[in-house]
Amino acid sequence: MSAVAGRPRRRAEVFGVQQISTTRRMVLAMVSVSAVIVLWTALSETGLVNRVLVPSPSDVMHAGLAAVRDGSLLRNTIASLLRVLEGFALAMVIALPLGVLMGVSTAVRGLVEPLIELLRPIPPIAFIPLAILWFGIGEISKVTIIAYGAFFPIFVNTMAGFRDVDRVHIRAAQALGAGRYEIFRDVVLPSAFPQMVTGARLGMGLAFIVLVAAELVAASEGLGYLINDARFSFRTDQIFVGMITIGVLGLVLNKMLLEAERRLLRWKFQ
Amino acid sequence: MSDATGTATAGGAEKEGSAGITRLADVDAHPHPMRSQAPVSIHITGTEVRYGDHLALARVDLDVQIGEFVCLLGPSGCGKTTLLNAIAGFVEPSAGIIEVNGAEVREPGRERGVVFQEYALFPWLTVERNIQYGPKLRGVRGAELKTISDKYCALVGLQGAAQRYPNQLSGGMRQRVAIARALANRPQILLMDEPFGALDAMTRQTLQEELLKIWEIERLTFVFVTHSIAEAVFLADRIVVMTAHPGTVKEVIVNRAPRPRSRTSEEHFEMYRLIDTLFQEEAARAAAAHP
Repeated sequence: MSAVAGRPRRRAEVFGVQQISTTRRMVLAMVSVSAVIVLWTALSETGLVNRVLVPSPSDVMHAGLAAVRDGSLLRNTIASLLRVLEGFALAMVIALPLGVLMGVSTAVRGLVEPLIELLRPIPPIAFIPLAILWFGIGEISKVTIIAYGAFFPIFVNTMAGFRDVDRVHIRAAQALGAGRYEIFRDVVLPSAFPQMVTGARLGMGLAFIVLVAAELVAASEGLGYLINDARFSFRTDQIFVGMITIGVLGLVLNKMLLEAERRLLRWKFQ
Repeated sequence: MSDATGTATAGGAEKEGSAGITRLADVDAHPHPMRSQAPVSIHITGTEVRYGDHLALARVDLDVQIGEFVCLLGPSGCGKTTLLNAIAGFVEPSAGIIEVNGAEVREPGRERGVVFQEYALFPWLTVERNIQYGPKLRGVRGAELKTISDKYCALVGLQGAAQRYPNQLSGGMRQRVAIARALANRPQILLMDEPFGALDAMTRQTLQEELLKIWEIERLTFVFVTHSIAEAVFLADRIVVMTAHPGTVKEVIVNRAPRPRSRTSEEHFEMYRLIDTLFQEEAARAAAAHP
């Protein structure tokens, strides 16, 4: 498939390097999504797969509409989103100052880094049992686990941002008459800012993943709860509704954060 | 005319150009009367820089006069950037003293503007705000700030690019911004660390010519680090020839070729050959010492 008929593709444009137009990308996206839906419909309608285990797209659509009508989908979505935001905010409040401190002070880095490196391999899900024992199955345990999950990307990127400030920028500011305070305000902060924003975006993504895990284990509302609850009544169509909602929500959230990143860092993307 | 018979000595050695070049000083079309009996701008005595055990720069004695254009020339590892960084106040000499206008250099200061090879522009600021940064730190505000950035944008030929970000500019344009930013802070000395090293040959020549024009207008002391003999010969009043292992000043050569200079004149080539021979000698000596 050559981008322009008759013109041979240049070598430098092979693999990921070649530019792709927006329309072309939209067309490709529609092709792949509709192909999956067609295949899915064919599999369940022809009875090749058990329809109880794999509901047809129309079953899922009906279940989705029902969930919208009785308000359960909205309620559960809002409950989940609130948890994500709370956990994310908690993570930011802890990770940002700690990241800044560790980025600028080698002493703090030396003290805290071993602890962080020890904690990092422990996945958030492993903390769920402990969180339930400590905080019960209420909001606090879930928000804490989400915050734990979101903490690391925010923290690690913030620290790296503050640690890796280009020395030549600091020297340039010094030669122009900047003192310690001005260097921090005018050079260190703006240098580290892009990585802080990236960290926040990755943290938000992780918060979302951890959220569903936490809700699967213990919750009385939320998208994870919706999925788990549907399992008990063998409503695979509702499970699909919950999962698709999570997928779409995650996609939209990521797009929004990417857009926010572009706007905040205009100088980088122009 | 005795304007170029320098006050400086480096290890006691100061060399005039060949007879032809010395003679040309008598017909200097663009004399710098300010420079003839100009007082000392940078006074370097017994300066030595060590990084741990490594001797990066062995004892240097050098005076630079006010308004003089001095090039520090040598291969990598000769300590030319180290010497510039010491004058800028970025590195501390392990011995000796550097004085600027009679005051000892202890830290970077705004009277010593610096232009870096890697541009060092603040990528999060527009061209205009980069140029305004120094004056802003001094407390300049509002319309005056705008006047300053407009003036220096015009000086380096950046009109129309004021609102752009550095990563939207070519290397040559970025270096123009960097020069404008340093000048807008009204320094007395401009220190340049291979500012044109990353540019293509054509852009490099253009910028060299414009830099000389700026030097004529601003009348500052210029200290310019380069590893290009041709660049040093084209730009400098005096060329500090440095050699490596350890970084040492080998000779200080007075370049009296009249300005504006030609890159294709006999004097230019003669000066080039003179310096090239010095480096050849040094290379032969080094090869003999470490066979």
